Amino acid sequence: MDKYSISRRAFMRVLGMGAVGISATSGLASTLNPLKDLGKKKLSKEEKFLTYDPGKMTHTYCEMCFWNCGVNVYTRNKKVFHLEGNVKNPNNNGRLCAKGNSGIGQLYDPNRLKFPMIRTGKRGEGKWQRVTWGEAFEYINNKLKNIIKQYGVNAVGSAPHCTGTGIFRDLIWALGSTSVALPDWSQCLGAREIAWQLTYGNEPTDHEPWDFENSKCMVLFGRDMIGAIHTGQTAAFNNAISTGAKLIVVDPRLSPTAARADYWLQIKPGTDTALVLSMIHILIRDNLVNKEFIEKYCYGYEKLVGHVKQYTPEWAAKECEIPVKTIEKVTQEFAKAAPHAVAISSRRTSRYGNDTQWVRSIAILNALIGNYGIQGGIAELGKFKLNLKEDELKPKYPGGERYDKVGTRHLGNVGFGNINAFIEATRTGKPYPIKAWINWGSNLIGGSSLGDIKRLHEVIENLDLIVSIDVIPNDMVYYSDVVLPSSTYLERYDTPYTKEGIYPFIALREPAIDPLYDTKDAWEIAYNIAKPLGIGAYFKKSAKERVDEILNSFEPEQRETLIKEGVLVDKTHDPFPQASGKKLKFNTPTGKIELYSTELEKLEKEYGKSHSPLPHYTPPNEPEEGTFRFLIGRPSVHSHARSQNIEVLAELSSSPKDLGVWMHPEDAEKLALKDGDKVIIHSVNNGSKSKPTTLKVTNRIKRRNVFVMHGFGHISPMLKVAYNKGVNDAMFCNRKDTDPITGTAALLNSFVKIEKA
Amino acid sequence: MDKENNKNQYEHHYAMVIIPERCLGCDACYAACKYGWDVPEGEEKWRTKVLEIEDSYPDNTPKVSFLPLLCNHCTNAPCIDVCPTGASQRIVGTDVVVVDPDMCIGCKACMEACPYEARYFNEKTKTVDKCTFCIPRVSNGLEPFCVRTCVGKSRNFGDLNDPDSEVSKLLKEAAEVHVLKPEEGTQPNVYYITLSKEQKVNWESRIKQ
Repeated sequence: MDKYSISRRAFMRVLGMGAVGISATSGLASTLNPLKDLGKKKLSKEEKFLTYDPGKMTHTYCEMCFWNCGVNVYTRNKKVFHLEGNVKNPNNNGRLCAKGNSGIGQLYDPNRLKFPMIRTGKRGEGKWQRVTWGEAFEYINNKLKNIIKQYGVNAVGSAPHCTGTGIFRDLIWALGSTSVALPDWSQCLGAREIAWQLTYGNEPTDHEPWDFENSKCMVLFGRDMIGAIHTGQTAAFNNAISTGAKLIVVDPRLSPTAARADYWLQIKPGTDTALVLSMIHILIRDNLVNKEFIEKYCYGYEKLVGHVKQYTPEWAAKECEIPVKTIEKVTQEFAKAAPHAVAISSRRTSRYGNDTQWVRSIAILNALIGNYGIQGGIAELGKFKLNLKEDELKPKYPGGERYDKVGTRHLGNVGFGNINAFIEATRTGKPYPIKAWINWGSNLIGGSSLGDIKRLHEVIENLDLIVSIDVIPNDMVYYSDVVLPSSTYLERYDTPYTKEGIYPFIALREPAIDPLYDTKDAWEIAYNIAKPLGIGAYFKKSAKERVDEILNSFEPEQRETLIKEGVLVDKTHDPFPQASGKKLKFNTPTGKIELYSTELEKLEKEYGKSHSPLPHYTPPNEPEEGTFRFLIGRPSVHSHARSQNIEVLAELSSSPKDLGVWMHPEDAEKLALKDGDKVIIHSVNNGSKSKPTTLKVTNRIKRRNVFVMHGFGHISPMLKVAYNKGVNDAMFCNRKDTDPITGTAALLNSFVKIEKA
Repeated sequence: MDKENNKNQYEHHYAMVIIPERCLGCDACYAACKYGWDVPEGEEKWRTKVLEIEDSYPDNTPKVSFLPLLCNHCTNAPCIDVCPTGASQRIVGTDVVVVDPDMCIGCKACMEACPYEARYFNEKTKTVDKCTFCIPRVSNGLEPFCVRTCVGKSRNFGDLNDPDSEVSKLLKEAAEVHVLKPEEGTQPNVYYITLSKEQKVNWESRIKQ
């Protein structure tokens, strides 16, 4: 196997790793895993129970979710048998979740994509022809040339997801097209990012600034730290609550996180803004705010004081269906722990179409206790800086006409776009036709962007070319024209991961084994699509070229550390500047935390009350009699809609808790339904209906709501384990409503009927 | 359970000390163990798993808790007593109970005898198998897979004969120590503890180092 050309010798010398791997009896095994009290004495028993070959170790970062934990990969005879967290990596400090451990299950999934294929039957018929890579690239090239000739470059688009996103965005931009949409922005955290941007002048970003580890009080609005597990962050959260930090969870469902709470507020869905505004009201009313911090660093406090007078806890109690004394009590707890306290929204804020205003109210709640740049509050993020010249050839954003309203009607980022608008433009041909999708790692069908089958067919009918690059035959792959198999992250190099976070670092990804099948990495695939279009110069021929370029940019000593440990942490970054007595800076128009948003003040004149500069409350739509609001959440053992085919993870998610639909006992009684009954979910929004699914009757869900775990119900029969198992929640999510400020989705404005099957 | 009663009958008295309130129910342990020991497919085939217990408080508020399960490596092990061939046995010098696949005839008597249902039948080898406390790793200076990956830091492993080991300290300082089904008289070596208030903070600062 090809190692880093520049440093292969150093690599092997430092780690003592040759073809034979680490000797079981060498001191190295115990250095990797110090266990002082074990293994001092040699035990005398048959060798079969007492010998252990730890195998050969390589470094990577995890690709089972976007958190990208550090991983040490252990192989014996070119077979990966164990993944272990890298203790030096601050993303996970040596631990891995069930998904992280299951990179092995993905690698050896018998249903993996093993060679390039071109569709021979109708879309969704499952008829394929194996082709060579050359044939696949030629087919793609001919199609793309015709599409560009007939419709222009903007007709070629991409909706990429996870590592590789940047490469495929570059491909589209290099063509001169603006048609890029990242599902993880407008379907997920877009509104949150904009709300914090408006208030603090920076975004929480993927790795988030909440310092759970040192927090004395955490208020989580709809956030499930355990279901949506990110190993290092969840561990830090667990450390805090296990050692006495107060936990307040606001959630209509008793999530595993809510089950750990000191205060579980079973709120009426969509009313969170009312609760937050009343908490702000109490902080001001009882003089619990940090006056000094506000005076120094906040803008618009007096306006806020006048604005929240109306939002009394008595009013909020009625809106939210939470007792007044609970609202009072949790606000006291939050204030008591200040400034070592933090209040956060869910990560996915695509909920009720009032989401930017909601998250703005949470950002303000934090500002009032002055927790920025302080332990246990909001840390200042740092970015690992490479000493590398910007790639002059990196494609720039081409500008020009867009399919969405990002940068015009909607606040957002042109590099992220809006997936709903992307799909809608493809469906309608307006404002311009999108005729080709080149997607990387994204399952738009199961992943809640495309949803119901009728709409899926309306959309793909308009496409002349669907290229899916993936590891497994997910639902989108099944409806594609050309399928290009990617190597898994255990078989490939990738661009080293430079983290923006509380502890910035860089981590390496090197292959643990050669690709098992005829697969390629993202760089090589992008290069081969780009080259015949005359834009090949923008791309490296393989990921390894980029890896070497980055490694070469380090001083020898640092480079050796990075290669030896798989990670290099920037210890110069100070995440707690307020605690260190530094003056804080905020990148807003006023240079302060904008309780009153000057940006929204301008936009309000144009767009009206939805853009009010102080957060206001919009009551949610009510479910009609006999219907339920459809809520979704995450099981800790799956990532999005892409890990359900892994056998071990499927074993861990086989009960009605994961595959069925949850309903409150009183609602079930009214419908004469009982636990374990087979039911059908009917969408009020779009007419979709589910296959018969199991009803879980539980008081863990609030009355008049039903709940389903996200990511199941796959429609690709090529996924032998996951096919048809559980409910495809994407079928029922609302696709019409959006948040007026960001255009992000309002997935939970969806209502369903439940009938006995 | 008398926590002082850890007699030095073994050269190495290995024990798992679990802090259930720290368990996230994330199932990382299940996955790490399944891959690491090539445990056969099927949710009934496990060496360790986490039980999710849904319940309600008296006022009808729902609650959820988690209970990690594995072989208890009982000092008084019924599986060893019933094994007709001696395949179920103890690793000499330790409390660790293993099944020797070369001696096992697949009669499943041990599966019946185990009060903890901690054993499974491996269809490929036609033998019974179970958790080994990761003795091949442990005897080579490595932690058990489940402990090594535990996101909640709920699982702790070590030698009770060493008074300075983490497990010894945890048991000594714990507010409460429990074992599963004490009425069976099996003397399990897997402990479930509740940390004292003071210990919570001390232990946390220890693990952060």
